[in-house]
Amino acid sequence: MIPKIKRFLSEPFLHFLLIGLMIFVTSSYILKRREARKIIIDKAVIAKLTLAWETQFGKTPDNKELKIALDDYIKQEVLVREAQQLGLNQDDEIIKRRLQQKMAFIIKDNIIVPDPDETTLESYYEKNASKFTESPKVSFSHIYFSADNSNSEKARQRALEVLHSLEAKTAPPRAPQLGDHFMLLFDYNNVDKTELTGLFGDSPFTDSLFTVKENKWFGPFLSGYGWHLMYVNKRLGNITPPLSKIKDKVIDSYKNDKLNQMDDDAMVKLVEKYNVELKVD
Amino acid sequence: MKPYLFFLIASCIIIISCNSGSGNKEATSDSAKGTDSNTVAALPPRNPDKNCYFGSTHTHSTMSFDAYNFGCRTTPDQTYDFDAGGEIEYLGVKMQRKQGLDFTCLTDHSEYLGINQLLIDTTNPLSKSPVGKLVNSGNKDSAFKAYETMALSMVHEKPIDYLVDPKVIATNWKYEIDIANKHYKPGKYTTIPSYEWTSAPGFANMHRNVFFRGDKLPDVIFSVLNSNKPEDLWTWMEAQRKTGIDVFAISHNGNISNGLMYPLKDTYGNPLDIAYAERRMVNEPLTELMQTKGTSETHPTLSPNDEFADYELFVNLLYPAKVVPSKISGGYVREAYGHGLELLKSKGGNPYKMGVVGGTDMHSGMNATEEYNFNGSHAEGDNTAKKRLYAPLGIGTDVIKESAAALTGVWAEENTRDAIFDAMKRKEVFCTSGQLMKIRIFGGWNFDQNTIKADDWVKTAYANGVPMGGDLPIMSGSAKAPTFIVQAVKDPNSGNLDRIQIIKVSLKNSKHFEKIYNAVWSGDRKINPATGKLPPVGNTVDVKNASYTNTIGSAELSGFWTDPDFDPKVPSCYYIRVLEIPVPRWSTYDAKALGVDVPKGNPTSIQERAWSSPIWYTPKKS
Repeated sequence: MIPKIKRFLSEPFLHFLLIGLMIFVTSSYILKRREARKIIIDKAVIAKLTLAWETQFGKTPDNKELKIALDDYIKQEVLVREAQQLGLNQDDEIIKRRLQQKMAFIIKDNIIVPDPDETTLESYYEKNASKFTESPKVSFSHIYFSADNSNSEKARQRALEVLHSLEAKTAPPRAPQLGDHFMLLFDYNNVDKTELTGLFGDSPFTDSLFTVKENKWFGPFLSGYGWHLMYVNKRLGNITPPLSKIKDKVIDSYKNDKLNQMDDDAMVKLVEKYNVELKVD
Repeated sequence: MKPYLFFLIASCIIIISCNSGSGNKEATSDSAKGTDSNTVAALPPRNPDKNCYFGSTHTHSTMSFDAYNFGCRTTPDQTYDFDAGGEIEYLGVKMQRKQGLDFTCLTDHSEYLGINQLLIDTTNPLSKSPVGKLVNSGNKDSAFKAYETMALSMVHEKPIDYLVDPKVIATNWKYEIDIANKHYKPGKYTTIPSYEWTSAPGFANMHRNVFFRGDKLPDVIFSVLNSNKPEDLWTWMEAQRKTGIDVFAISHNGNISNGLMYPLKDTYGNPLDIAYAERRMVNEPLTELMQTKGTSETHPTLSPNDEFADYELFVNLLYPAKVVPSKISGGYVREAYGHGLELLKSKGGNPYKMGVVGGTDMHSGMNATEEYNFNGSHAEGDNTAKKRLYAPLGIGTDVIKESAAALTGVWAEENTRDAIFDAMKRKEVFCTSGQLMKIRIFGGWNFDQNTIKADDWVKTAYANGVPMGGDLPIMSGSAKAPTFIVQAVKDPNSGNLDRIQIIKVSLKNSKHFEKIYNAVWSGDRKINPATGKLPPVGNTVDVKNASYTNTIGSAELSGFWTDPDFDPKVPSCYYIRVLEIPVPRWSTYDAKALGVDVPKGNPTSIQERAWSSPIWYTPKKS
């Protein structure tokens, strides 16, 4: 046994191999050190510095300016590498935050949310119905009585007279010609209160659109402009449109929720890889 | 054979590790995030007759160094939520607009952008720096000192070196873009990426806001720490355009520019020439006419015959704790229009062919322009009625001189970034003192009394004339004077309308003059033949109860006007000013809340108003 080992150890080929390996390891270590101290200025670096100069100063740098930019670049590289060797990047809050942000983006970007199948989508829609509920909307026609170049009471009286003429059961649902010219529209379809407050002001007219009975003329009500009679054709309460009508919206919402959930899960899994030790004396 | 194998594996490992060490890969995944949260819903069809959209072209959130140090903690997210009509909490008080806006330009200061968020992080060495210590002291005076230190460094062009790391600023700019993208809902609510370039040589306000179309944006923004000369900002913007980034700037607060905003010489003291005019108009097609720190339309000393010139003026420079009046000439828009026409005649180029917009410049993170809903514009400096009525602002003028103003009206085909940006570029925009009044003016050579009576008059107006911001077409053969149609519709949540005035600026013997005509008004008032003036509309304001009634004035005013004094040989421009009936000023609501009188020397009611961009007439070259 032993002579065999002795013979093996005195084998010149083994020496050759070991010496070769030593040379290789040493030289690659030296090369690596040298590599670490190498700052390469290639076309890509110059293009990057030129672009940065252009966006900052609005002109292409001349040779002198390019030299300034290059000097800065070299100084930055040197200081960054020296700082890294000293480990200054280890506990720096700004660097940590930047890395955290980059990693968070990478994780999120790599998540692919598959399209939900019908059952998944339906159950999501049912569970989250409130997300898709729309605020009450109203469709109506109105007649306008302007107080411009007159006065408010006269306009109201005119409105009352017209209202009496519209109390018959055969009254038309639309009769703008019985009043004055109006600078916006006479007919609105499916508008909500926020929109109406912008159009007619925070006024008795706007409020009444949501309280009067449908299919009958009411008034006069004061808006931000003057007096009106109103005829509400249709009012939609807090309704949730059927899934078939808002499918794209539901899918988007589902995917967005799912993405956030998968992102959270990925984070939990990542944290699980680490041992968190509590050392509080 | 085994040694060979070992050798092979060892060398492979070494080679691989060497290679991976030298490869300098850059993570780029976070730089290309666009408007990912916007699911593109079908937009309503574009309206060729154009819709009116309201918004503010000027606001600051807690990302602005000064807003932060004034105590503002409103985030960009909250700014957009508030403007779109949502409710936010501001210094412990719930705030919500009665009517939301259609668009917002959040113009945080580029200088030291978002730096306070680093200064307050105690693990960050910057928190121990001199400015960091002031910010972290926890008392209001020190925070104000921090503001002063940073503001002075900008005035004196001596950047605080430890606060200007371009990487930090670039990261914060990217954050602003991301939040703007998140809140952009095409067709409903538009956000326009923008920032403020804060130049103030010798405390003269030379500020410009910079606006981007939004499809392509720079990584780095040009701040006053690069240069405080507007010409250098233009050079930077011109370079941006070459790379496909669409951008322009809007000047603001000529009133406190010490007469430098609309100068007759460039920054280097050279007289203005045609090249200056062309550059300025490409880079600064608009100017902000009004905001919380006053109106820059005109001043009583420049317009002695204008009985409405004394409106919400703010006349002192922003010196810390010092009262220094700003030089008047050179600081107001109407005079600049006149100087522009003079320069057109003498030099061949008009550098002041500007449209007008309104923004708030509120450092509260909210465009709170409703008089009855105003909670100050400088955070801890003016967030209670008592402070607003009695406290000095600390920068030249008392808080009570602040205005709950202003907004921009835009005539655009749809509520999208492209449509609003383009409307601003073609100057089809107007300024309001904060309400949502809609105003229109069209100029042409053959409009008449009947044009506006037709149902489709807007179509006719576009087909046969030009809207606000435009140039009158070449004078047609038979025409004697330009004709205009004008219309104003009140804000249904504000006062009725008093009158539409046409303000004409023109030349006589190569010098500019102005003339004001009342074109349309409410009621049966008659122009006094002796003075040429229209009697006041009246005043229903009950000061004690801070209330008014819409029993005077009109909901809508519209009509036709033609220039009775037209001289086809000289250039002119025409814009409309529309006045509301008097309503209580914000300070009157505050006085009522406190049960006190409005401090003496301050108006109890104001006539809110709107100003259009002008329409220009240029004589045919002979």
